[in-house]
Amino acid sequence: MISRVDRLAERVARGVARKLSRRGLVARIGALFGASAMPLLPVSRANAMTSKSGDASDPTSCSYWRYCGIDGFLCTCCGGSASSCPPGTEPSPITWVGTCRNPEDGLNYVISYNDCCGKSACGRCECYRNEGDTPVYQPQQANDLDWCLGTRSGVAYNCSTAVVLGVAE
Amino acid sequence: MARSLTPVSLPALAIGLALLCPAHGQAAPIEPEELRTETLPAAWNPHWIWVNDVSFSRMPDGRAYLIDGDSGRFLGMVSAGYSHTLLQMTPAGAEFAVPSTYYSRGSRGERTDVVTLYDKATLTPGEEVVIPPRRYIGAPFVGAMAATDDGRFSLIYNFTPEQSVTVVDLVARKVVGEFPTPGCGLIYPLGPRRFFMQCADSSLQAVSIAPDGRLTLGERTAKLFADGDPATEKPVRIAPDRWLLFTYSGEIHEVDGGGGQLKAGLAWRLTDAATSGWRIGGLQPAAFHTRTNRLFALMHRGGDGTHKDPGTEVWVYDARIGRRLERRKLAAPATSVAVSSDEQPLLFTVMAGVRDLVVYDAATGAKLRVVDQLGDALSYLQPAPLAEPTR
Repeated sequence: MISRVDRLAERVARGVARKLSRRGLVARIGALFGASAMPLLPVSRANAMTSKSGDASDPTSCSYWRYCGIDGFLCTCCGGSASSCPPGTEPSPITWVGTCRNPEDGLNYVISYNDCCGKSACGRCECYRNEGDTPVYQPQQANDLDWCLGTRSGVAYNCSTAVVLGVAE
Repeated sequence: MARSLTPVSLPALAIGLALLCPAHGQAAPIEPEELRTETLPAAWNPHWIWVNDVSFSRMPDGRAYLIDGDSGRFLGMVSAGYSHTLLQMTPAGAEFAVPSTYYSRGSRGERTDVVTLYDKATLTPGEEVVIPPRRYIGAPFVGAMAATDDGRFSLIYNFTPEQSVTVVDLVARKVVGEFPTPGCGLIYPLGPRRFFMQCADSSLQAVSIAPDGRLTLGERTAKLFADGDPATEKPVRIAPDRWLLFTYSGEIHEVDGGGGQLKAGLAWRLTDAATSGWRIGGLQPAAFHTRTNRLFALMHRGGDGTHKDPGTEVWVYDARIGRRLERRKLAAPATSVAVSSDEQPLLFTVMAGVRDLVVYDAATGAKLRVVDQLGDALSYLQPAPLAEPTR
């Protein structure tokens, strides 16, 4: 019988592990492989947030509706926003795309999780999950790769955005 | 005397003794010292372990720390640049190689990838070979790079996202070449001059290394794993030409590369009906002790999507027959596990995001010590290499 303290420690530890597995090492695959190959994440992801039970309308919360497929540090907490990079960083041209449901209008949106690159990791507002993640030798859906490699400034990963591309069909 | 002096402060006591008791100065005063730099014995102790630190929150500053598992003493370290992964060590070599990435302005500027050779006794960087600036940047998996068992060649997996392998001749100190490996990634040595890679279609690709280091793609197996249950990038080498691959759900598939062909060996599961709610997980979730055929697996209670979750227990198996021998609760959750290769092995664990190395007796599971205040994001554990017994 595991004690309550042990269970708490385990939950905290798992959270740390998930964060670190994603932090700055996250696949942003999609554009490079062509839009037709982009895997659209299931809508259920919108409801399967991390242990943070925050506000689905708050862009600084991991529970924000757009972040259903995000991995990494939220640019909203790093000098940018859900759709802008912090000053002096460069958006990655390669994205990992998800489909998230906006609870306010009930519509599903295609979200592009571009990285912002060229400075060391921001380190704030980590937000992550491993559902659907594949090994890196199956890179189209792997989240352990650093996709800032598509930028001029190189691979240094700073934070992640969640840009609305449009209403999902 | 001593009792009457107890209320006096220690500095006052020291001054008093110095003034009043010159006889106490009979011991020779401390000689002026000359600052020096420590060196290590050329032969490393098998209970020494390198703790790699990918330094996720400050990735240009990757490191590796050398710890004595017996005493817990911190012996030295290596500074290894952006997205540090592994050291390339051989039992006999006087040096070890570290493939690294550097930017000319720290976190930006021109990228230079380099294989640096370090002296095992002094831990100083010596000669280096500049390689194509395309090495895989990502989670620090064991297959991201490898040295051949004799230390002759360094093999570096590249991902741009085109996939290739760079070969460096560590004796001649030069790049042999960069060889495309379409559809396949990561490097798992098989004997002295072969390795295999994992491919996107769940097959395995054999690759041979010519005497001059040039690579030739060999046979490719059929698809070995179901789409929903791929093999992780965290296999364990159990013999010079044999590896154990783990699927997300806990299937074990032995791959035998002896005899020139890749063959599937024993297949079994880590869990049974009674333990079906448990999964293997972490960054380095299993370790193998050759002399006893023991497999140590980090296990946690969980389902789909928990393949990176830390183990709360280590389960011990006889890998020859695929049977579990023991379940042990860990003193602390762990994302990496390693075992020393000697006859009195130590088991080591770290937990990503926690700054501790935990040392256990591998035979009994008894916790021996914790080495604290280590780094930022402790990643892959590498016990000092020891020549493995012939099997």
